Amino acid sequence: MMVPLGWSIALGAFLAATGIAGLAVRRNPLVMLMCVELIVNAANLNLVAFSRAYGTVEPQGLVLFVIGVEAAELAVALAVITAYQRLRGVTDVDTAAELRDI
Amino acid sequence: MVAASFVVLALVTAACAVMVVLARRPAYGALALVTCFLALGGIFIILGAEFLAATQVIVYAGSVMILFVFVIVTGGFSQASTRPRTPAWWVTGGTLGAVVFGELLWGLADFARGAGQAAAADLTSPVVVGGLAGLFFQDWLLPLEVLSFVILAALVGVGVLRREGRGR
Repeated sequence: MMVPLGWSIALGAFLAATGIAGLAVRRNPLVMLMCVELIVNAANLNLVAFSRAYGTVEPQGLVLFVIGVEAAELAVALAVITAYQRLRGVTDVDTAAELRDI
Repeated sequence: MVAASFVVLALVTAACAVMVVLARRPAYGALALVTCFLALGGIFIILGAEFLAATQVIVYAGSVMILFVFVIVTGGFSQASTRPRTPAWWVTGGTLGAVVFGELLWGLADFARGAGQAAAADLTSPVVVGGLAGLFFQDWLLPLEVLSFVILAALVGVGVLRREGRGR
């Protein structure tokens, strides 16, 4: 009946690796934010899997806090990106180089 | 039966995650991420975390991704990426992903091989929601209230950023 713990770990590792690779190769800020969400959800999946394996409920509480903080972070990040887009009109993180020579 | 549904949901999650990274239009990537989160909610149910599955579907797939889709559609981010995908691009992403994947599996191999499977309590009983409630409203009450302050700060911050963008 139980799914082996290794399967959940493998899926979490795959999601995190995909998110990290996406952060490295994509230049659209919203796609990069979505890759950050992938990494965070991989961590959530690992937490839930270990909560199941060790029989405690605290990791599930931590997952709820992670979801709440992620929602807040995402709202602010989207507001910042939208404000920058309104200011500069570009959608590429490589061209956001105003702080480069400081 | 349960293992088969886990494998199906895991394949959907993995395929949608890869689509998020590879899709040229951000709107397609956002829709793929919604599917990924819904499948992840199903996996949470299989793993015995029903409350978190509901939270994942309501908060992540149902609010956060709606916000993403709004910003993509109304904010000028909806054009397709026109950067050429050279072989160097594929090699960079693929190598980085493979290295991180292998490293994570190697680091967690002891857990994956079976430690901790035997003595698991039955978390699929309805007691676990009571367990979470006892956790939040007795032991972790202060962090829960602080979390509400964090969300309030984000709310105020978004309002401030909207005003400054319009020059008011």
